[in-house]
Parts: sequence; C-alpha cells; structure tokens
Amino acid sequence: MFHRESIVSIPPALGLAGEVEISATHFSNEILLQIRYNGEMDTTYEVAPEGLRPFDERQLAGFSDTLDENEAPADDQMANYKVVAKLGDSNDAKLPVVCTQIADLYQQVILPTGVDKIGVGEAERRNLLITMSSKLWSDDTRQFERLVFILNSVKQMYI
Amino acid sequence: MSFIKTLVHTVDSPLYGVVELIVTIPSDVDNAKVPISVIIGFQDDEREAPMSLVSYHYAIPYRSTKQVVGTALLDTSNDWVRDVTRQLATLISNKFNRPCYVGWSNSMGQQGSIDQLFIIKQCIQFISDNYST
Repeated sequence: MFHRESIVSIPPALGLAGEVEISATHFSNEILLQIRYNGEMDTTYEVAPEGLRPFDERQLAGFSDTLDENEAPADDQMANYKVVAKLGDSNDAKLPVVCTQIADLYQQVILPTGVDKIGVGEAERRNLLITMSSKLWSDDTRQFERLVFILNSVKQMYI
Repeated sequence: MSFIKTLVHTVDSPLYGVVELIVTIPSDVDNAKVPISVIIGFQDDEREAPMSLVSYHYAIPYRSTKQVVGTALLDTSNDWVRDVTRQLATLISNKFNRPCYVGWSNSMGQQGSIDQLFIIKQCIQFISDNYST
C-alpha cells in the first residue's frame, strides 16, 4: 500500500498547543487521509470531485477572446466538490470548506505529480476520505492560518 | 514523544498470501480519546494489481456500558469484507477501550480469500504486542 505519514508541531502563533499527526494511504478508488490533533480525531467526511472535466481547461459558453481581464469569469473552486459528512456534526459549516481545500490541494498539486504511481487522468478523480479532529477549528481563532498550516503540512508530507 | 506511533507489519502466510497492516496506536494508554487505526491490505500474490479500498468502519465504546457501537464510513455490498471490518473494529474498540477505525483493501479482481479469524487474530496480536505505556 502506498502510505505517507508525518508529525508536525503546531506553531504557538496558531493558538493551539501540541502536534498534528497526518497519515495518508492511497488506493485506486480512494485516498484515506487521517489528520489527528494530539492523537485525536472524531469527524469523517467523504469528498468527491464533481462536475465537468478537465479542471484546467474550463470554458464557458458565450465568452469570447475579446474579454479583458476584468470581465473574466471567476473560478469557484468549491463547486467542484461534493462533501458528505460520514461521522460528526453535519451542521458544521467550517469543516466542509476545509475538506474542499484539502481535496483541491490533492487534485491540483499532489496527484498530478503521479507520486503514488496509481495513474493520472481518471485516477485523479479519486474520492478523498478524510478523518480529522474537529477541535482544530472549533474556536474562532486563527482559522485561516490553521487551514494554511494543515494544507502545508499535508503537502510537505509528499516532498 | 508523540501521542501516537504508526507501525507497518506484513503477515506472510503460505496459505493466504500477503497481508499488510498499517496500524496507528496511542503512545499513552491512559488517554482513551486517541483512536486506534488499522488499515489492511490483502494481496493474494497478485502484486501488480492496484489496491482498492473496499470498506472503512468506525467503532466506539458506548459511554460507560460494556457495549460498543459503530458505523460504516465506507460501506460495501461485499458482506464478507463488511463483516470482517466491523468485527475487527468492534473487537479492538472493546478490548482497548477507545474508538477504532478499520479499513480493508484488496487488489482489484482478486480471486483468493482469507480466513476471517486468522486476520482478526493477527491484527489483535500485533496491536497487543506493541501496546504499552
């Protein structure tokens, strides 16, 4: 099995004390990702890529080359994923956002490198099954900075 | 020292093929909030075939009762696999008194099978051997 793991100490500036332990196992149909906070994790989401393909060549009908940059369509990355809560508070509004960001990291950065040799193309549409600790974002402090920290830690795990 | 340790173990059985276990256990056995995680990869010598995650189950002791409750996080129509993941998660959760996540994967389209009790015993034994304060 293709497996990666890492343990990262949380910088004190994020308002959390301790460490984050990340573990990722890649399969042909899913990527199983576990993000623990001081060993704990309590919420599971399944993130499925949805919508038209390919990501990087999206064209919208009706737009022409004469558009200048101010009129170019904005990219709604979050609409590319369907997030289903498998375990945990299904009313939590923050964690699905975190999940789409992690899924995007995999789709745009990690998987295109072919790091797991499971194949590109259709395999990039693999689902992500994330089990994480809800405590990472349960208060209202440094939310964005913590997200960036987690994304960076996941990315570093593959380098 | 970290809160957890992750160990990889390969069970090479002449009868069943190769079973790989990726197990994450707590470093401090007194902290009952840290779940055990077991990911099983079963390859019946078909090492070329990619592995596919079939089932992922969660079990947790129910408050102070002796019961364990659980749910399938990734369900499957394959009753055999569903059974072994559920049983293993429930047994581990009960024995070590903490939540447990068990995932089962096998190479796609494989024909071989494995004895349920054998794999459950191997997992529990491996966790017990490495489970200490």
